[in-house]
Amino acid sequence: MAVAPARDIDPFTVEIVKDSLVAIGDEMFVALQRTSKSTIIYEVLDFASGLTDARGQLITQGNGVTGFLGTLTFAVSYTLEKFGADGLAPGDVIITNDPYTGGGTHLSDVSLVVPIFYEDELVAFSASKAHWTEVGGKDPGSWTTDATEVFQEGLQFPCVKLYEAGRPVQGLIDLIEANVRLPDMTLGDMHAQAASLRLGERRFHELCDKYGVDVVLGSVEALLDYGERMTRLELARLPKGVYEAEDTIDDDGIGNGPFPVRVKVAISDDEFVCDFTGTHPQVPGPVNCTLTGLHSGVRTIFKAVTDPHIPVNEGCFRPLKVICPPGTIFTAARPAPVSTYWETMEYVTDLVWKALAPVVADRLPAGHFLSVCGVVVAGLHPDTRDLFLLVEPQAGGWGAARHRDGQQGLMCVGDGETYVIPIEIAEARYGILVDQYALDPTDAGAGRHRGGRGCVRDYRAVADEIYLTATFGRHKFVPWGVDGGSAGSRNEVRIFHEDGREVVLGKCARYRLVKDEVARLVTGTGGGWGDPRERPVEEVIDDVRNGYVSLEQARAEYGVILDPDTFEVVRLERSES
Amino acid sequence: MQSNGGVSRFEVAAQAPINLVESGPVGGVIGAAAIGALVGEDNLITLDIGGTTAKASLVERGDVRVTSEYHIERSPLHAGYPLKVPVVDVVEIGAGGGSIAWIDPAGALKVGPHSAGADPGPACYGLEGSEPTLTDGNVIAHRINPEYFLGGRIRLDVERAREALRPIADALEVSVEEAALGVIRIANANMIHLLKLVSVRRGRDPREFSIVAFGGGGSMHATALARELRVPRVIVPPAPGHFSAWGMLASDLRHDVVQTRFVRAEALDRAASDEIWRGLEERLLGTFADERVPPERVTFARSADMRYAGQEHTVNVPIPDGYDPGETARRFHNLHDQLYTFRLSSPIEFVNFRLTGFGTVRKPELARIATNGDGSAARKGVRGVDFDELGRHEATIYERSLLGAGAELEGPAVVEEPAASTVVFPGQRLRVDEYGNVIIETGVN
Repeated sequence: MAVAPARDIDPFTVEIVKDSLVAIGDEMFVALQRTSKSTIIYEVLDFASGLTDARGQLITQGNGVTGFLGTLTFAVSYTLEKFGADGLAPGDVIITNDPYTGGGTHLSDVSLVVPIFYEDELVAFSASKAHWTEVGGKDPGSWTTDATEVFQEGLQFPCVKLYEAGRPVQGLIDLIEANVRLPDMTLGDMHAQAASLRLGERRFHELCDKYGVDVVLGSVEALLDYGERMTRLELARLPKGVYEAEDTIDDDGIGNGPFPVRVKVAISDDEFVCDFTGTHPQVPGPVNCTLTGLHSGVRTIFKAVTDPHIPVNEGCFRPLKVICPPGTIFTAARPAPVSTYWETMEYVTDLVWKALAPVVADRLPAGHFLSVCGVVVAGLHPDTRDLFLLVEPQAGGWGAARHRDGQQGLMCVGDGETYVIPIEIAEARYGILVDQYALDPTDAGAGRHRGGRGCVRDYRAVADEIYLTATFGRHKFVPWGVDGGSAGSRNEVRIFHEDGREVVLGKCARYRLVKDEVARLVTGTGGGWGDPRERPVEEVIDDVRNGYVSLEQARAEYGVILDPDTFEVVRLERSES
Repeated sequence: MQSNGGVSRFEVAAQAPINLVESGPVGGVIGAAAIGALVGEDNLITLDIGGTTAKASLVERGDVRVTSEYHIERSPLHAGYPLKVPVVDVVEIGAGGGSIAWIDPAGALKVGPHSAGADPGPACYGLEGSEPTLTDGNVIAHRINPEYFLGGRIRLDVERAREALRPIADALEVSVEEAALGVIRIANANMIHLLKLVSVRRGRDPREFSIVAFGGGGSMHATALARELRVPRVIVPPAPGHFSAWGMLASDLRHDVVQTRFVRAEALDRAASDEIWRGLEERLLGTFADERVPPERVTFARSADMRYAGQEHTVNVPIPDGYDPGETARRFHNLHDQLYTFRLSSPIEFVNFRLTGFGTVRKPELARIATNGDGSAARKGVRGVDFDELGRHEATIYERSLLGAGAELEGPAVVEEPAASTVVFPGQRLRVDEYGNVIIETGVN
């Protein structure tokens, strides 16, 4: 075993230890992915794991969805606040999902925290947060669009010990087992999560054994300072000033709304302050977001405008300040329901984005479809009679950028690296047929650069009956354009009933469709950038040929009148010519 | 050469060029498996270090790992593109001899992923390149002999290497020699990470494997990496710089077909399964016939992608001819446990039926080399070489082509050949086998 050099830490060792710390975060992430029993963890990657220092400052984090960015810090800080360093012992595992104190978002997202001791000294924490498929509550899968208080949404773990000094707290585990619908899966995920934290602990110990604990802790400081230094260099390149944005959240899923939200972003030489004062108070339905989600939402966009390539750690966020009074839709208090908090967290990110897009044009495109467009389809499979449960996000259109058209058919910002379910798999596994999966050509998103197209996906019931739960935000207030670009189009669910009735909605809970009825899932087209009449005529002709722009939109918004058969220009209606 | 580790005729390859992606690196992995079979080592980590990248793969119990989940150009910052055709599972990082050392805006030293390649090349080549590279670091640390690069056909310019590295030394306030060692250490740390990706990350313990090192830089770094990961043995095949090409010659013709069909295991009996596989065999025999390979020279390997009902991901389970439901289920449970650390009592489901066909071809055999247990004839001299935390030592320099079968020597030493150098650390022992493979026992446990 190599021994740490006695002299001061040399710059190369610091680099190597820094990289090793980042690799530990990645390894913990892969370990949980590999051992989890829930598809939402090992396929959708709806989890994060990493290390913090002894004060709870994030050292490194691996995550699949951007919505978890930086949330581990809050779970650890609250653990420290509640137990104190003296109240923690080697072998402890702490469990928390409390949305209103540190680290919680909705009850399905459960954080575990392991204090890491080296030679009797608390030196770090490993922590992870994962979406458990089942935490009890009034509906299967726990999250729902019509809860009215948190008690309907599942079990609450108010930052308590799951293991004490290496021994499981069996009473708590039995209690969990008795209160969830799929105990095998839930407890399996719990053990997998704990095991990945122990792995992080072991790797941290190995690092201390090899380089010496002082060298490792010195490197941790260097890593945090490095994140801060790199971020400040980027911050210096941002335009100084105060930028404001307002928007509106559709509704809360149970008939209330709309809700105005707003931000004021102040960028100075050494600070980036987001002030959400003036945002609507918390609401009766489950779209409320709490403090941790607010911070994650801001951190996501802050990372995007500084440098997303800098490995994430607490140092990166030192210049960032978030201000918001308590009791708003972004800072809801107990017992507000929170199960679809992500719809509102997306607005946190989008507000700052909207405020800055005109002035940080090299990094931010126009508004995108924004909503996760979460869908749950449940029913009995016609072949096996087994219960099936399709849970998926939808892909949609992104906004145009200053120098290019928007991306088509991508996940929304908060969903990060997640995937749609392939048609073949959807049809084989669930009691549905996919009649079409196409880009949606609704007239929207025109501009010098046009917004990327959303998608349209038709689910036809093959089972005798299926039940659809959907939460499509931005159903009433569409993605924004920039610099004269048109707004995008809305997200919507359109139901075609047997008797010819057509129902259009943004949110629904357990909506019944019978065999051969169709649910059409439509995601928005992103906003455009710049005056559509400045888009070169040849590009408009190509768009029409390719089906991205209709003849009517070409005429009305781009001022290009084309022959419907030959696509030759009949007339231009543009001021400059 | 195809991505799946087999070769194909041009006419067949032209029908589906996607099957050729990554075929170069795959050649080296197949070659390493062949060398492993020759020397009796069937658990191998292959390490191929070139000018721009380092690539690693795992050979387990003689089997090359083939995946259908391969992504090209995938990185933590890039989703990459899924191929969905069988590809030998090679993982790569941007660390090679040409990797450029640089100081980022916050003052941290990085090596790669940008590379000077062969042209303009490292500063010491004396061409257009003036940026400091890993190779420059190795020259300054005396691990590369500047007089014997490509057998002496290129003389490396040590002074240019030092000049290139000086800005980095100045920025970090260290000597040029220390900066050179720092560059090597950071490149090695990146490569350690690569080797962990293919081993530790997949639940494998590197101590149970041997490293087969090739590419121009493989043997230069493998012994240091093996020390760190406690890998007991490093094998450097003859002509490591051209080894991937040799590996291609060591490959059989190979084609894969897949039939997707969702069937619960309890609903599949032997007759039904045989019918599926026989259909696939017919198709492959047709492909081989197009390549003028007669049926008697074709062998088949069957496998199936299976999962617990309700799961999305699958596990590939080898299935011998004569499908045995009980045995197959047992294998599935075990493999699932090994990969995902748990097993379930849920019903099992077949998803894909896979058939691989091999058309055996004549392959080159490695010639045996003359026996000469006395290594002293190969001694070329002595040179001070920096061995990192083991310090600077007077290392004995050997000419590889003059080492006979049975020769043994001890580090500190450097074994030179025209396109590569093998660095033997103090405490490590090296021997040459009858085929000219250099085998280093690292002495770690």
